[in-house]
Amino acid sequence: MFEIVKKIISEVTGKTNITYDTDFVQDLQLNSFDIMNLVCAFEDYFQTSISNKEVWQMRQVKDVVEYIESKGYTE
Amino acid sequence: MKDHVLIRIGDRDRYALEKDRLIGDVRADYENRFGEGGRRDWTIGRTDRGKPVFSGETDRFLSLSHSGRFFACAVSDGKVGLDIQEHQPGRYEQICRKWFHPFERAYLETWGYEHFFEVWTAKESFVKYTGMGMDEHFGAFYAANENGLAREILFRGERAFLEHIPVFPGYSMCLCGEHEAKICTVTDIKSL
Repeated sequence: MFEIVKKIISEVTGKTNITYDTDFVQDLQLNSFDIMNLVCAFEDYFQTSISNKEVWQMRQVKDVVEYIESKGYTE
Repeated sequence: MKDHVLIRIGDRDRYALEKDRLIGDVRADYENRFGEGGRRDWTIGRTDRGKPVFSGETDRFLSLSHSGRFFACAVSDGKVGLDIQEHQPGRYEQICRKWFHPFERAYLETWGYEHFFEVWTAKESFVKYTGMGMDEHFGAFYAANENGLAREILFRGERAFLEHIPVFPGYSMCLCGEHEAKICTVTDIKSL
Protein backbone atom coordinates (compact mmCIF):
# COMPACT_ATOMS: atom_id res chain seq x y z
CA MET A 1 0.00 0.00 0.00
CA PHE A 2 2.81 2.39 0.90
CA GLU A 3 4.29 2.07 -2.59
CA ILE A 4 0.99 2.96 -4.26
CA VAL A 5 0.47 5.98 -2.00
CA LYS A 6 4.07 7.07 -2.56
CA LYS A 7 3.66 6.83 -6.34
CA ILE A 8 0.50 8.95 -6.28
CA ILE A 9 2.15 11.61 -4.11
CA SER A 10 5.15 11.71 -6.40
CA GLU A 11 3.03 11.97 -9.56
CA VAL A 12 0.82 14.74 -8.18
CA THR A 13 3.40 16.85 -6.34
CA GLY A 14 6.65 16.01 -8.12
CA LYS A 15 8.21 15.35 -4.71
CA THR A 16 10.61 12.50 -4.06
CA ASN A 17 12.27 11.17 -0.90
CA ILE A 18 8.92 10.07 0.48
CA THR A 19 8.95 7.77 3.50
CA TYR A 20 6.28 6.31 5.73
CA ASP A 21 6.86 9.12 8.25
CA THR A 22 7.00 12.01 5.78
CA ASP A 23 4.87 14.99 6.89
CA PHE A 24 3.02 16.67 4.03
CA VAL A 25 3.48 20.20 5.31
CA GLN A 26 6.70 20.09 7.30
CA ASP A 27 8.72 17.80 5.01
CA LEU A 28 7.17 18.22 1.56
CA GLN A 29 6.22 21.90 2.04
CA LEU A 30 2.78 21.29 0.54
CA ASN A 31 0.20 24.05 0.84
CA SER A 32 -3.58 23.69 1.09
CA PHE A 33 -4.10 23.55 -2.66
CA ASP A 34 -1.46 20.82 -3.04
CA ILE A 35 -3.15 18.78 -0.32
CA MET A 36 -6.63 19.12 -1.79
CA ASN A 37 -5.29 18.17 -5.20
CA LEU A 38 -3.63 15.14 -3.65
CA VAL A 39 -6.80 14.13 -1.82
CA CYS A 40 -8.67 14.20 -5.13
CA ALA A 41 -6.02 11.93 -6.65
CA PHE A 42 -6.38 9.46 -3.76
CA GLU A 43 -10.15 9.52 -4.16
CA ASP A 44 -9.84 8.82 -7.88
CA TYR A 45 -7.40 5.97 -7.48
CA PHE A 46 -9.08 4.25 -4.54
CA GLN A 47 -12.63 5.10 -5.62
CA THR A 48 -13.47 6.47 -2.20
CA SER A 49 -14.61 9.73 -0.67
CA ILE A 50 -12.53 11.36 2.06
CA SER A 51 -14.42 13.77 4.30
CA ASN A 52 -13.08 17.23 5.14
CA LYS A 53 -12.60 16.22 8.74
CA GLU A 54 -10.58 13.18 7.74
CA VAL A 55 -8.47 15.16 5.26
CA TRP A 56 -7.01 17.44 7.90
CA GLN A 57 -6.25 14.53 10.22
CA MET A 58 -3.89 13.09 7.60
CA ARG A 59 -0.63 14.81 8.37
CA GLN A 60 1.82 12.10 7.38
CA VAL A 61 2.07 9.49 4.64
CA LYS A 62 1.39 6.75 7.16
CA ASP A 63 -1.96 8.39 8.03
CA VAL A 64 -3.06 7.99 4.41
CA VAL A 65 -1.85 4.38 4.24
CA GLU A 66 -3.69 3.51 7.45
CA TYR A 67 -6.83 5.31 6.31
CA ILE A 68 -6.95 3.51 2.96
CA GLU A 69 -6.29 0.16 4.63
CA SER A 70 -9.04 0.87 7.16
CA LYS A 71 -11.45 1.29 4.24
CA GLY A 72 -10.69 -2.30 3.26
CA TYR A 73 -8.64 -1.54 0.14
CA THR A 74 -6.03 -4.18 -0.59
CA GLU A 75 -3.28 -4.15 -3.20
CA MET B 1 -12.33 53.78 7.79
CA LYS B 2 -9.55 52.06 5.89
CA ASP B 3 -6.86 49.78 7.24
CA HIS B 4 -3.30 50.48 6.21
CA VAL B 5 -1.70 47.34 4.84
CA LEU B 6 1.85 46.79 3.68
CA ILE B 7 2.46 43.69 1.59
CA ARG B 8 5.96 42.64 0.73
CA ILE B 9 6.70 39.85 -1.73
CA GLY B 10 10.03 38.10 -1.93
CA ASP B 11 11.92 34.98 -2.82
CA ARG B 12 10.60 31.95 -0.97
CA ASP B 13 13.96 30.24 -0.46
CA ARG B 14 15.37 33.33 1.22
CA TYR B 15 12.29 33.60 3.38
CA ALA B 16 12.61 29.99 4.54
CA LEU B 17 16.09 30.72 5.87
CA GLU B 18 15.44 34.12 7.43
CA LYS B 19 11.76 34.17 8.26
CA ASP B 20 11.80 36.22 11.46
CA ARG B 21 14.32 38.73 10.15
CA LEU B 22 12.24 39.33 7.04
CA ILE B 23 9.06 39.73 9.07
CA GLY B 24 10.96 42.25 11.18
CA ASP B 25 12.03 44.12 8.04
CA VAL B 26 8.42 44.36 6.84
CA ARG B 27 7.29 45.53 10.27
CA ALA B 28 9.98 48.22 10.39
CA ASP B 29 9.02 49.35 6.88
CA TYR B 30 5.37 49.48 7.99
CA GLU B 31 6.17 51.67 10.98
CA ASN B 32 8.20 54.01 8.78
CA ARG B 33 5.36 54.36 6.28
CA PHE B 34 2.22 54.28 8.42
CA GLY B 35 3.12 54.14 12.09
CA GLU B 36 5.73 55.25 14.53
CA GLY B 37 9.01 55.39 12.63
CA GLY B 38 11.19 54.78 15.65
CA ARG B 39 9.17 51.91 17.03
CA ARG B 40 11.22 48.71 17.25
CA ASP B 41 9.78 47.05 20.35
CA TRP B 42 7.86 44.17 18.77
CA THR B 43 8.38 40.49 19.42
CA ILE B 44 7.61 37.78 16.91
CA GLY B 45 5.97 34.88 18.68
CA ARG B 46 4.20 31.73 17.56
CA THR B 47 0.66 30.47 18.02
CA ASP B 48 -0.01 26.89 19.13
CA ARG B 49 -0.05 25.94 15.44
CA GLY B 50 3.31 27.60 14.81
CA LYS B 51 1.88 30.63 13.02
CA PRO B 52 4.02 33.78 13.49
CA VAL B 53 2.33 36.70 15.28
CA PHE B 54 3.33 39.99 16.86
CA SER B 55 3.17 38.95 20.51
CA GLY B 56 0.87 40.89 22.81
CA GLU B 57 -0.16 43.55 20.29
CA THR B 58 -3.71 44.56 19.45
CA ASP B 59 -2.97 47.14 16.75
CA ARG B 60 -0.58 45.27 14.46
CA PHE B 61 -1.49 42.11 12.59
CA LEU B 62 0.49 39.74 10.43
CA SER B 63 -0.36 37.26 7.69
CA LEU B 64 2.00 35.13 5.63
CA SER B 65 1.62 33.06 2.51
CA HIS B 66 3.87 31.18 0.14
CA SER B 67 3.48 29.44 -3.18
CA GLY B 68 5.75 28.62 -6.08
CA ARG B 69 8.86 30.75 -5.83
CA PHE B 70 7.35 33.52 -3.73
CA PHE B 71 6.49 34.36 -0.18
CA ALA B 72 4.18 37.25 0.74
CA CYS B 73 3.95 38.99 4.10
CA ALA B 74 1.21 41.46 5.10
CA VAL B 75 1.38 43.78 8.11
CA SER B 76 -1.74 45.78 8.97
CA ASP B 77 -3.32 47.83 11.72
CA GLY B 78 -6.44 45.67 11.33
CA LYS B 79 -7.03 41.93 11.39
CA VAL B 80 -5.87 40.52 8.06
CA GLY B 81 -5.54 37.36 5.98
CA LEU B 82 -3.34 37.09 2.88
CA ASP B 83 -3.00 34.35 0.29
CA ILE B 84 -0.78 34.05 -2.77
CA GLN B 85 -1.01 31.07 -5.07
CA GLU B 86 0.82 29.94 -8.16
CA HIS B 87 -1.48 28.80 -10.96
CA GLN B 88 -0.53 25.14 -10.71
CA PRO B 89 -2.16 22.43 -12.77
CA GLY B 90 -4.71 20.49 -10.78
CA ARG B 91 -8.10 18.87 -10.53
CA TYR B 92 -9.96 22.19 -10.47
CA GLU B 93 -13.45 20.89 -11.18
CA GLN B 94 -13.12 18.08 -8.68
CA ILE B 95 -11.81 20.40 -5.96
CA CYS B 96 -14.61 22.81 -6.78
CA ARG B 97 -17.29 20.12 -6.50
CA LYS B 98 -15.89 18.87 -3.22
CA TRP B 99 -14.94 22.07 -1.39
CA PHE B 100 -16.51 25.14 -3.00
CA HIS B 101 -19.92 26.76 -2.45
CA PRO B 102 -22.51 26.20 -5.23
CA PHE B 103 -22.37 29.94 -6.04
CA GLU B 104 -18.62 29.64 -6.65
CA ARG B 105 -19.19 26.65 -8.90
CA ALA B 106 -21.73 28.76 -10.81
CA TYR B 107 -19.12 31.52 -11.19
CA LEU B 108 -16.48 29.16 -12.56
CA GLU B 109 -18.91 27.42 -14.86
CA THR B 110 -20.02 30.81 -16.21
CA TRP B 111 -16.66 32.56 -16.43
CA GLY B 112 -14.32 29.61 -16.84
CA TYR B 113 -11.98 27.59 -14.67
CA GLU B 114 -9.06 29.84 -15.61
CA HIS B 115 -10.45 31.99 -12.78
CA PHE B 116 -10.12 29.15 -10.27
CA PHE B 117 -7.26 30.73 -8.32
CA GLU B 118 -9.07 34.03 -7.91
CA VAL B 119 -11.73 32.14 -5.98
CA TRP B 120 -9.19 29.96 -4.24
CA THR B 121 -7.07 32.83 -2.90
CA ALA B 122 -10.20 34.72 -1.79
CA LYS B 123 -11.40 31.71 0.21
CA GLU B 124 -7.97 31.04 1.66
CA SER B 125 -7.51 34.66 2.68
CA PHE B 126 -10.88 34.56 4.44
CA VAL B 127 -10.12 31.43 6.47
CA LYS B 128 -6.76 32.94 7.40
CA TYR B 129 -8.51 36.15 8.41
CA THR B 130 -11.00 34.34 10.64
CA GLY B 131 -8.48 31.78 11.86
CA MET B 132 -11.01 29.02 11.29
CA GLY B 133 -8.68 27.11 8.98
CA MET B 134 -9.65 24.72 6.21
CA ASP B 135 -12.44 22.84 7.88
CA GLU B 136 -15.89 21.59 6.93
CA HIS B 137 -17.08 25.21 6.64
CA PHE B 138 -14.83 25.92 3.65
CA GLY B 139 -17.76 25.32 1.30
CA ALA B 140 -20.31 27.12 3.48
CA PHE B 141 -19.34 30.66 2.48
CA TYR B 142 -18.79 32.09 -0.97
CA ALA B 143 -16.29 34.50 -2.52
CA ALA B 144 -17.97 34.65 -5.94
CA ASN B 145 -21.30 34.06 -7.61
CA GLU B 146 -22.39 33.84 -11.21
CA ASN B 147 -22.22 37.63 -11.53
CA GLY B 148 -18.56 37.85 -10.56
CA LEU B 149 -16.10 37.93 -7.70
CA ALA B 150 -17.42 39.12 -4.34
CA ARG B 151 -16.07 42.27 -2.70
CA GLU B 152 -17.03 41.01 0.74
CA ILE B 153 -17.97 37.84 2.59
CA LEU B 154 -20.72 37.54 5.15
CA PHE B 155 -20.53 34.40 7.23
CA ARG B 156 -21.77 33.55 10.71
CA GLY B 157 -22.44 37.20 11.42
CA GLU B 158 -18.92 38.20 10.43
CA ARG B 159 -18.30 40.59 7.53
CA ALA B 160 -14.96 40.79 5.77
CA PHE B 161 -13.71 42.68 2.74
CA LEU B 162 -11.77 41.11 -0.11
CA GLU B 163 -9.19 42.80 -2.29
CA HIS B 164 -7.81 40.93 -5.31
CA ILE B 165 -4.33 42.31 -5.84
CA PRO B 166 -2.67 41.98 -9.25
CA VAL B 167 0.64 40.20 -8.87
CA PHE B 168 3.08 38.39 -11.16
CA PRO B 169 1.88 36.52 -14.28
CA GLY B 170 0.85 33.01 -13.30
CA TYR B 171 -0.04 33.97 -9.73
CA SER B 172 -3.13 35.23 -7.90
CA MET B 173 -3.19 37.04 -4.58
CA CYS B 174 -6.03 38.16 -2.32
CA LEU B 175 -6.20 40.13 0.91
CA CYS B 176 -9.06 39.84 3.40
CA GLY B 177 -9.67 42.32 6.19
CA GLU B 178 -12.23 43.70 8.57
CA HIS B 179 -12.33 47.00 6.68
CA GLU B 180 -11.52 48.10 3.18
CA ALA B 181 -7.78 48.62 2.89
CA LYS B 182 -5.30 51.14 1.64
CA ILE B 183 -2.68 48.77 0.32
CA CYS B 184 0.96 49.33 -0.46
CA THR B 185 2.68 46.45 -2.21
CA VAL B 186 6.45 46.16 -2.37
CA THR B 187 8.32 43.46 -4.20
CA ASP B 188 11.88 42.39 -3.53
CA ILE B 189 11.96 40.47 -6.80
CA LYS B 190 13.88 42.45 -9.39
CA SER B 191 13.49 40.11 -12.34
CA LEU B 192 11.29 37.22 -13.35
